Amino acid sequence: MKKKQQNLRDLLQSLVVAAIIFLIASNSMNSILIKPLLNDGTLITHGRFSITFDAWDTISEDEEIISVAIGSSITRASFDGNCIEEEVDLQNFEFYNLGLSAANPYTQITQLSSLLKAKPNVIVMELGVNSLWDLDNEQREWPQWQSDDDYVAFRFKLDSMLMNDDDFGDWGELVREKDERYLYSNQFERMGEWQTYTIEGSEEILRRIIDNESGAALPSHSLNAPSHIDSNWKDYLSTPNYRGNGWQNTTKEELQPWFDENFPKKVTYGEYNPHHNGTLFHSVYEFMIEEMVEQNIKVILYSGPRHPMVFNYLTPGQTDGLNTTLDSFSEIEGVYILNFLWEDWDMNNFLDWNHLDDDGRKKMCEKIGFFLNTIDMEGE
Amino acid sequence: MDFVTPEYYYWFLPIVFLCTFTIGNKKRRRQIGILLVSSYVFFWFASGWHIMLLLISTMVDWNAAKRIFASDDPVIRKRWLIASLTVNLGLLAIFKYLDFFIESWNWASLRVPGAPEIGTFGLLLPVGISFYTFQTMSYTIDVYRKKNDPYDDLLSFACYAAFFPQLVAGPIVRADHFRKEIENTLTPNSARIRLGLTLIVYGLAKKLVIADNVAIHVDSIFIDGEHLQNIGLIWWGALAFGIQIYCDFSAYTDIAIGSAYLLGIRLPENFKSPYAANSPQDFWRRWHISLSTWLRDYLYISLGGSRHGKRVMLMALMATMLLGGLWHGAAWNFVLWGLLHGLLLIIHRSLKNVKLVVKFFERLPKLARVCGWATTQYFIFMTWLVFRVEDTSMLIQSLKTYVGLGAHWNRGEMYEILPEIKYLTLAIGLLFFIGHFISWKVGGLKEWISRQNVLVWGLIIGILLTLTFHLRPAETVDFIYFRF
Repeated sequence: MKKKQQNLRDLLQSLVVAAIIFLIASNSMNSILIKPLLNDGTLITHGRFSITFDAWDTISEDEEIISVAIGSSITRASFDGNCIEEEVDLQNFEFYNLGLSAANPYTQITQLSSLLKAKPNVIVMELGVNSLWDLDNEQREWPQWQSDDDYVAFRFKLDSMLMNDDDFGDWGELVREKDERYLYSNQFERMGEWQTYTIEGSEEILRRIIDNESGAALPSHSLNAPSHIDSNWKDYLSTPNYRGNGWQNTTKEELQPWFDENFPKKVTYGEYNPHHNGTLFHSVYEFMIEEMVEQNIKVILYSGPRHPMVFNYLTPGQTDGLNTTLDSFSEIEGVYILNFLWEDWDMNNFLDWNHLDDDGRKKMCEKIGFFLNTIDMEGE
Repeated sequence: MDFVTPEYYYWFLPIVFLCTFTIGNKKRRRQIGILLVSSYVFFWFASGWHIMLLLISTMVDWNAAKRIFASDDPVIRKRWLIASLTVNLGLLAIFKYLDFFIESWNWASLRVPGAPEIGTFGLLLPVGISFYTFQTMSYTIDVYRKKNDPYDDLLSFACYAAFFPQLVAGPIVRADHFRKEIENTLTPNSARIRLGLTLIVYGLAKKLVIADNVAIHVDSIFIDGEHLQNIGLIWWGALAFGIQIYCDFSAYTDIAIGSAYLLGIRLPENFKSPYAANSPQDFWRRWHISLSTWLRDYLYISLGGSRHGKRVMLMALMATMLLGGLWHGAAWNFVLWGLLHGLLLIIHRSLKNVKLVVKFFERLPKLARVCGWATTQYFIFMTWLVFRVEDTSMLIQSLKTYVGLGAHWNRGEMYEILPEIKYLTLAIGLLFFIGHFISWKVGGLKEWISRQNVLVWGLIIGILLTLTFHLRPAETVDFIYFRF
């Protein structure tokens, strides 16, 4: 009887050890093998997609006065944190740029709980002409994704894989029923998503060992993001590596044929036809702004500029939905509006039709720095 | 439901385990009843209404064996045996081979003017029919041969015929073996549970990590029949399929044996490092042992075996291997596969008495064994091409390339044809052969693991689980032997 009990105890202990080893080995595999390959853009189209939650962890530990920009690649290309920190009069001020390619307001909500936990002083949130289309009825095709829904699935799956249980919150109410399956709410589901990258990741590691090459994008490459333990991590969060090639030194005459070919169609898309209200994106903005304001986080809603030649293709009143929306949010205390869309920007400020280049960023740096100096960032 | 569906591990096996040892605690008949009901549930999930065929087979053999045992009249005994064989082989003939025979007839009729074409029935192959009919047939034949007594109760016999771990793809268990296993109350035993869990995890790793990953390469090579002149591709294709089919089938057996161990029942081994075999005869002692011994005991010996001269023996051997090939599937490539194995066995039997060969083995035994191993494995892997490639022209081309006829070597082409995941699959293949070698050299690797202390066992099983969980491909491939 005693031996039987001992055997049973041994068996149970063995199972516990096996379970612990499984968890440790799986987590080690994910963090040592897969995460660096996500960050360097080998396993996903853009390493930056995998750093959001690491970034919020870093921001939450920062005790300075903090401003964080969130939005799409337009945001990413717009703000040079290091430059803005110099422009702002405060000594203990940090500016982080978490702009992310193809991001839309709906895909931003997954980071809301982390954002509220990190409690930055100011959020610079993109609300541009491109932010108010109807996701349910206006799907676009992307080179990497079949549709916007496909992109949402990718982002939700990746984000929730990288999230912890406490990164979920009331924002879940905004998630469309069809997207709920992409948000993994338990550790086992998250491990399942990690698993989808393991085979390709292992192959890449073996390839690098056998072929004796790095295979990854170069560190300066815009697709590559450093790891949160790298020395340039914090610097990268302030000033991301920007895309290099673009329309610098290109004349209006040289660009005209491209615009004539592409823009008559482009301006018919949702991203140039903002709705006045009632879309999912409107609901997301309302929810996020309310939550942030409640936490005494100041919110700057900024609308990014466009290449001057774009305006030749817009019809009068086409972007009125943006004005209506900005107006409605401007009434909320703690919310500030910066509409750069109709401001006079030079064509030499642009990398392409909607992303700023170095000159444009410098100009934006001055503008946003000036504005930040006008508000009481420390105050309640 | 099968052994790689999560449901099997999430609820089915745990519920059966708990019910057997709680509701059925120390009550043998109740335990057998629980196992029988769960086996029927398992089969229902796997094959639906085909469960009727299992019930028919069970009832026919239960009655036939009883009648045979009860009678001393050889004529009556024989009648009941024939009745049993007719029903069992009839079910196999209809559900497994009828469409195949019709298709073969239609193919032949194209060459005979005026011969009518017959429509096929489109019958779905009932899961596990080849396994359970062989099992129940062997029971009746053993009773007829007076080797065994029939089961005392229908419940136990039905459980023997339907026992879920081995129901779908073996091992083919003998009635007497199973009866001994269930003659006493089943009790949970820590050592057996540990061994059972070890076998299940080991089997899952073999199936999901090795077989399913390698299968992607195999499919990419043989899917469209292009580039079959590339000797590198064909050799890798044959090697990879050899790895796939062994890991797929032996994994099923491991999980079956492991599941049975959890319930306190020991099932026989089915594999013994087959790629270490140094002769065709040795291979069949190591590959699908429960089938090869079944064929030996109930077919080869019935056809005359080795007691009626060399000619009869060779004919019995060839007939056994041909039927063994056909048992695998209703297709001519399986018949050809059996034929080739029959030829290999005959050639081996003829060669092993040749003076030169005998002398070689006496003077240089180690070298002779290595040569025997290399030659055997060269042909074994060649026969896997026959097993895998169903299209005749593709098969002929593959075999020609395998032996070097009109073949070329093109590394760039290989790189292009093989799937994106290359190095990992090659590494998995290499690790398989290292593991296979160690398993052959040391023997009893799984048993050794199960005997380790808490920490070592936990460590090995934890690592195996991690590899299985993370390195399984997105799509799980059906067990190959489910088709048979």
